Amino acid sequence: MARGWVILLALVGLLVAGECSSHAWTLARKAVPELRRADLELTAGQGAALGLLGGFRPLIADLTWIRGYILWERKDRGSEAHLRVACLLDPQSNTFWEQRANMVGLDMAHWEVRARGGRSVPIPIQETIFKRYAQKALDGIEEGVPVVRNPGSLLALGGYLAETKLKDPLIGADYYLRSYRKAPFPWYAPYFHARLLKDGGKVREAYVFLRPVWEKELSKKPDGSPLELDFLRELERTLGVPMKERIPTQTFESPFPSTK
Amino acid sequence: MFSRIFWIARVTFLEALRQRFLAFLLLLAAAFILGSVPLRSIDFGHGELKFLADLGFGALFLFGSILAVVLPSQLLYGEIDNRTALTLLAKPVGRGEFLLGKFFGSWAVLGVFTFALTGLIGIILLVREPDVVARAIALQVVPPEVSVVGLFEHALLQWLRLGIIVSLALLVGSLAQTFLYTVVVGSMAVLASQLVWIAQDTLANPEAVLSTVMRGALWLTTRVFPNLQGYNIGEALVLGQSTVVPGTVGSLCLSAAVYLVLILFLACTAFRRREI
Repeated sequence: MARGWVILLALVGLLVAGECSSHAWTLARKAVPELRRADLELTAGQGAALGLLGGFRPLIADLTWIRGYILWERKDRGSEAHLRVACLLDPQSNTFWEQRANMVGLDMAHWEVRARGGRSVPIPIQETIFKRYAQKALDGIEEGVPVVRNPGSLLALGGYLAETKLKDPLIGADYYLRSYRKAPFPWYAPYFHARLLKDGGKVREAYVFLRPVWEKELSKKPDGSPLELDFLRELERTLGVPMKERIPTQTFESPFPSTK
Repeated sequence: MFSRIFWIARVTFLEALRQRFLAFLLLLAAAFILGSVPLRSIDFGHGELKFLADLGFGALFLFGSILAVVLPSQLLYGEIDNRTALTLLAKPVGRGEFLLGKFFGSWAVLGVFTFALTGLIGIILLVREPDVVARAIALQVVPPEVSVVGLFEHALLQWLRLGIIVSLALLVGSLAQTFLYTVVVGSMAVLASQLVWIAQDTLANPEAVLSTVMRGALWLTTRVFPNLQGYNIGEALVLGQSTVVPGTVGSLCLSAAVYLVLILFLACTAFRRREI
């Protein structure tokens, strides 16, 4: 075959093949959430590049995590980069995202307070540091929610951090609500959502939310969810709900249970 | 023509099966896959099945890629160095037929390799599945599910991917003069193909600021090198933890077929002009 024809055929073939490959990759891309080049570029070294080559990602993620964990034990803030790479290499792992959020939101804030002088650091400055790290941890949680296997528990952790470190009950309530909407959610998610709404001054909203949840779901549990019921009673008293409209006394609450 | 290609492929297949390198890699990969079972206790919350599947697919990917580069190069240069190629080509056998026979023989061996290892991975996953599902239900988390169809689809995709690598190795072998050069350049071509998705993502990103020259270079890269990363969707296919858009497997098969035809055409053309 003449050289010119070969070159022409090869060029046409490359065009067709390239188009097919681009189309196939557009479809296959959605099945590979861990390949996020822009994220990995910021933190990853050769280890991540190796991990991207297919297979062995969890193993490399584990080794990266172990390295990050060793640095964390030494209270080295360099551990954060390793923890992040581990999360990005194996984004479906709840453990990585949750532990990372705990380490950043709880431990690293304390390290900084200690580095600045511990108890001698004025409380408002301590609070600012805790809030900054809590926000960082919450940003990490937001990054993990779309890709993690069980987003419910990760969001519940976000609620805990928002409540205890960010000191914002309404943001915490929002996290618990999102957790409740992602089955399977931790059992305490609806309770804490309502509790934090109340702490944020939204008592009626808390009652309006928790009552139907308790009646339709929580009361069906074998123990009848007494913690949530107690809280509902408290809300009914606070709101002054008329006796007729309150939740009827349950058998497990009554001092004289029915013999029927 | 087809019967001649078939006979060369058959001889190549039988010859490849006798190679110690194949047996060594097959045993190594199988040991790696079986070794992942005790390793599953290193649990950082991946989920046991995901860990087993990923390690198994990793072994298939790594050892399969090594085999797909080395085996056809070894078989091709074995024929050339031992002068058997000259004897064969003295008969009414075209050079293209000779090369296609080498390709199909090597690809068939890789088919055995791929489906044997996938079978082993499948057995391990299916044996562990009931236990893992029971544990997930007890912990009130989403239980994983092993898809046998997905496993077969993944094996098919891997086989196609290895076919592309074999054809790349033969293309390089048709142009090169030594076995070592073929293996090194072939491996680099595979590495480039494995990372070409970065160029495709950059081109597809509307926010990427690129000069015309850079855009042209990236575009050319995505046309010259096949994207081999797209074939690594085993976890999504088998465990269904992330969505596989309908038509993905078909589209990847079509892409692989086009690249196979193109690379083999180029390899045959180059081999016709090669001095043996």
